[in-house]
Amino acid sequence: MISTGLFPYMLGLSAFLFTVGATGVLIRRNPLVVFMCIELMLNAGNVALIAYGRFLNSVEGQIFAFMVIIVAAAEVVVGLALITQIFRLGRELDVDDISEMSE
Amino acid sequence: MLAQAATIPALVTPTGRDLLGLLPELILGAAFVLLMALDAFLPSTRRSWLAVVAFISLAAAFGASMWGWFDSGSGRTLYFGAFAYDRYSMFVNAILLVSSALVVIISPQYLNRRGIHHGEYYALILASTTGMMILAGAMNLMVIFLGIELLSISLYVLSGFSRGDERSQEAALKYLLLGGFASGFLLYGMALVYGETGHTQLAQIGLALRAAQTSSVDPLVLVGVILVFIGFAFKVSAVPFHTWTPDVYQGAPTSVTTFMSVTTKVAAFAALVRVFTYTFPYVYTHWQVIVSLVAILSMLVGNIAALTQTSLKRMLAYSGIAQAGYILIGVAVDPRVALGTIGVLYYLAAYAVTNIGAFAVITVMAGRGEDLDSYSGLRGLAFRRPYVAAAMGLFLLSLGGFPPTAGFFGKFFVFAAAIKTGLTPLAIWGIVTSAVSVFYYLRVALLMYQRPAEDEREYAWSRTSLSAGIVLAATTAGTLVLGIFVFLLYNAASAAQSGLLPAIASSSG
Amino acid sequence: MNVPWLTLVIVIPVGMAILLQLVPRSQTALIKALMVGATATVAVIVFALLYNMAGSPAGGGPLSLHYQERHDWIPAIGASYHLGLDGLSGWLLALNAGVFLLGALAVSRRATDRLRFYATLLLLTEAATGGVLLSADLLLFYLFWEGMLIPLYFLLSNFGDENRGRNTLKFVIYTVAGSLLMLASIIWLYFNAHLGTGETSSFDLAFLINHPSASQAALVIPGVKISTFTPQQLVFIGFALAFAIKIPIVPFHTWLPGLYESSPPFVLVFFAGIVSKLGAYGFIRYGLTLFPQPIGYFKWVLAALAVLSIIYGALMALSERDIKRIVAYASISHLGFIALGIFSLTQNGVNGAIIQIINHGIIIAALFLIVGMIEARTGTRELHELSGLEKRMPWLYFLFLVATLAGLGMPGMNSFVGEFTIMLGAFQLNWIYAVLAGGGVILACWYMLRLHQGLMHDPIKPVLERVRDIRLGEALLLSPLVALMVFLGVYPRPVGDLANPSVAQYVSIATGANPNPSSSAPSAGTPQAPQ
Repeated sequence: MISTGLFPYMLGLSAFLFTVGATGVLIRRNPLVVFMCIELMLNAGNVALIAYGRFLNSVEGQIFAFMVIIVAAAEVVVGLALITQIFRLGRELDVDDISEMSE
Repeated sequence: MLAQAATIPALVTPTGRDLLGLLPELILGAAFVLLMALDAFLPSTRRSWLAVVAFISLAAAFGASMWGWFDSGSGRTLYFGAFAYDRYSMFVNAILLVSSALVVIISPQYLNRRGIHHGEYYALILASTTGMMILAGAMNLMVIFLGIELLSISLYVLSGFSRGDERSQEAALKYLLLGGFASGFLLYGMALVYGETGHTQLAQIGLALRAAQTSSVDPLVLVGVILVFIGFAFKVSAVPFHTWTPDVYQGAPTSVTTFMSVTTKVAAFAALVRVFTYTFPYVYTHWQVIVSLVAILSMLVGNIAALTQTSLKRMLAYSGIAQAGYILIGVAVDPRVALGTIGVLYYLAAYAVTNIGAFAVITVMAGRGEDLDSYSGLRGLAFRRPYVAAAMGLFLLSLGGFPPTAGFFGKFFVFAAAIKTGLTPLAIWGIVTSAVSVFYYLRVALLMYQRPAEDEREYAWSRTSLSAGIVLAATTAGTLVLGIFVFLLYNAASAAQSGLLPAIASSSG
Repeated sequence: MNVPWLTLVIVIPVGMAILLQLVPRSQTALIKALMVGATATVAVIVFALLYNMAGSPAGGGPLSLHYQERHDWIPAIGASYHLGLDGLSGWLLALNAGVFLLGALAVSRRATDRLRFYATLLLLTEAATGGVLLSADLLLFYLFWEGMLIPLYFLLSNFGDENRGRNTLKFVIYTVAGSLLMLASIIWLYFNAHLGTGETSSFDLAFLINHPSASQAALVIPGVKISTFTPQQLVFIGFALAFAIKIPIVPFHTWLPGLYESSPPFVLVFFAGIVSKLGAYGFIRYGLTLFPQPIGYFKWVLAALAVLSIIYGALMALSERDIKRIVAYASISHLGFIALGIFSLTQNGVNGAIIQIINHGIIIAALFLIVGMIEARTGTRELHELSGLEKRMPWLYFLFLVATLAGLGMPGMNSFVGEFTIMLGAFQLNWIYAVLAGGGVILACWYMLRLHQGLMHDPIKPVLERVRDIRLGEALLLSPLVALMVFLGVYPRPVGDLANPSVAQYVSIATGANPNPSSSAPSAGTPQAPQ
């Protein structure tokens, strides 16, 4: 059980995770790593939701977090399938190289 | 406003009334399951039957929405305020369902020609449409998130539907990564809004913001509001969150592009209006600047970038970015002025009918195995397919905002709302960029009426089939009807606006 | 029976354009017959309306329309389908019907292999220009004004020489930029109409004239504290730009010479004949009535630009060697006269402008037809490659001579009446303007005679020996125009008299002589057009 005193730290942690995730998406090149960074962002949101839920003494935050976990899982399924498919088509896994269309 | 007693609603079975309110979504959900099952049993030569089933379910959902329009009256909420049952959502449902139905009609022929006619296609279209309808009616942050993810994940798969085509895969991956990125922003913004107001229900968030208005506004709420806006801006492809749009539109199979270019925007804008104009009116002064700025940038970048394109799909993608900017004008106006929301609704309907028409031309004219994508592919179309060329010309003119087409009145109402609320510079900026946009729309229109050079290869346009004819005739008629018999849709949009939930601020005029 | 005649003027061309799509493209004779039939029917209706107009009572209000049709369109925002015809729009509508009939007749079935396409676009353009002249509701007006560009765009970009695409795009972008600003202005007027209690705003022209916006202080640029224009003046600029580009007034004319050069005569007949006049019509109908204060404020600048157009157009016409461009620049010069008449804000000036709008429509249509005939026979438009055609083309020589004399403002010819009346108005404004415009008349003599003599006199060039005179059909096309030039020269009253009540009323609104524009009685005082 976290106490109210820990709340600012929880929020700080979530903000830190979010920043790391967002920065990672912007600077990393490997789609898998980018994908992990996106998960990090979503989980930062989860941490914030749970911290707030606890702090506000409301269950809505936790319910929200559960739903996010499920949705994120679905997204991972699609994402990994896509990455596998691109790999099978014989492509380098680097988002900068995936630029068939840009002119 | 923090630390309130937990308000856990007692677990009760949903009443019949609540289920009935979700009838359109339920119909599509059931059809989704049915299609997946049917796909397993049907021989691969009978895939077109799936399109028929999908079309029937869309028509049924449309009927249910129309019934809901009359039944909902002045509007109420379902499931303890988590979902809106009002004319606004029914209006948006109608646009979404008609758009999806048109896409379903043109799809079989196109998919067969591309050799990617798989059964999941229709199921995914229905799933995505369900997500959009959920998004349009959502009154709870969780439901909004759920709706966005349902529509997005279905679209990620649809974008990569051409499994052997690298461009399609690339489009899907880009869409997935940037869509996920946007979801991250959206979720974090929602977490902040929830944390600082203590609620996930839009109505209660709005009330909390109104109560807090007397004191100073919590900065974390504003950060949350802005992050939520960024999430939406990704979905409507507004600058600077637009970078995925051209690549995804170009890479995805054209019928999918047709679908997502219209419906995503409609659903996301519907939710954007509900959240910003009707839930956050009390922090209006804070988000208005950002929305206006994004609108200005979208109009500029979209139109300028579209000037230099040589691919039809990319041009329409940038045009869509610019159109998002125009619609954002309607969001940026003072929430107390109803004309802004009416303008957004009118614009969305006009944009849907026009853009589906324009993309449908690209879809139905696509040759065997290749997409009609380059400008030169259109050269001389008017001599071989005069009616298709005339329809395409009309769509392009409508996108450019020429009367008497739907696009003109879309622009007219949002500009009028802006001028009414003193955002005249925004309207002037829209006008200047519109004049720029005429250039690239007319360039394409002109191309269709030029004879191909002697040595030039004539593009192998496919024959105009009955299904293609139906879609083009419907969109052409829609473009003209919305441009001439304006009162029909205006009155509907006005009625949709007047019952819009959550009614926190009293709107006038 | 209550026949909606005004609506028919718009609906007949549109209906025929749709009907034509059912006719096979190879049936050129039928297509042409249907096109001519539709335009002729419209012409008959319009002239019947005009004939009965003098006897019919004028409606009240600031517009005094003789015929009206009104239905709700978008009632929620006060936009209505409101058509009206009065003496001002009546003659323009007659010109409209005339030039489109001429355009329908002028296209020979051999001139283009896309006759059905041409016919469709011509009819749609006629409907749109007719709508511009008839609408008495600002939103409806805008709808036709901008919608007109659609058929025009396809028309100009599909028929003509190889430069047409670029020139058309230039024209469309110019006009779209102008008219979109006008749209913003229309919306501003709508929201800032000074409403009484219980009134809702409307796009109706009469309503907006009667409910002018409250005058507001000039806007100040923040930071530098430079006071600019009042909102009303800015709104007027929005309208004025749209109209000035359409006329065009120098410096907004750059789209014109190239476009005229690259367009075929059968398009130019109505494009030059009516479309450019709509800008002048807009200034009279909307500029004078809606913006009494701003147009008074800007009249010196606008009149100066009009004089500049006269001189510039004339000088350019003198320096050109291409006969089509000479006529194009002459057109700019003549349109400058029309603009000058309007901006003099005097009854004489405006009246002269209306007369001159009609005259110029007739003259320019004839000149472009003649130039087209010469080009078709000789294969060149270079002035120095042509000479002595009078010997080979006596009939054309005669018709061209009348058109030339009319073009340079010879007394007894129609444009003399118009130009003289405009000069009277210009004198009332300021004598300098009149003197400068008089210089334009002298230059007009010079360039018209240079064109005529260069083409017709001197020994004939050997290469031109085999040139044939015009055919009977072509002569029949030109002769009504030439007859009108003479007829309106000796008897200009029909035009002036019918338009006079409207003009008197508009000028009194614009100059503030009539503080209550809602009173319907037009002030007396009919200037006599010199005979």
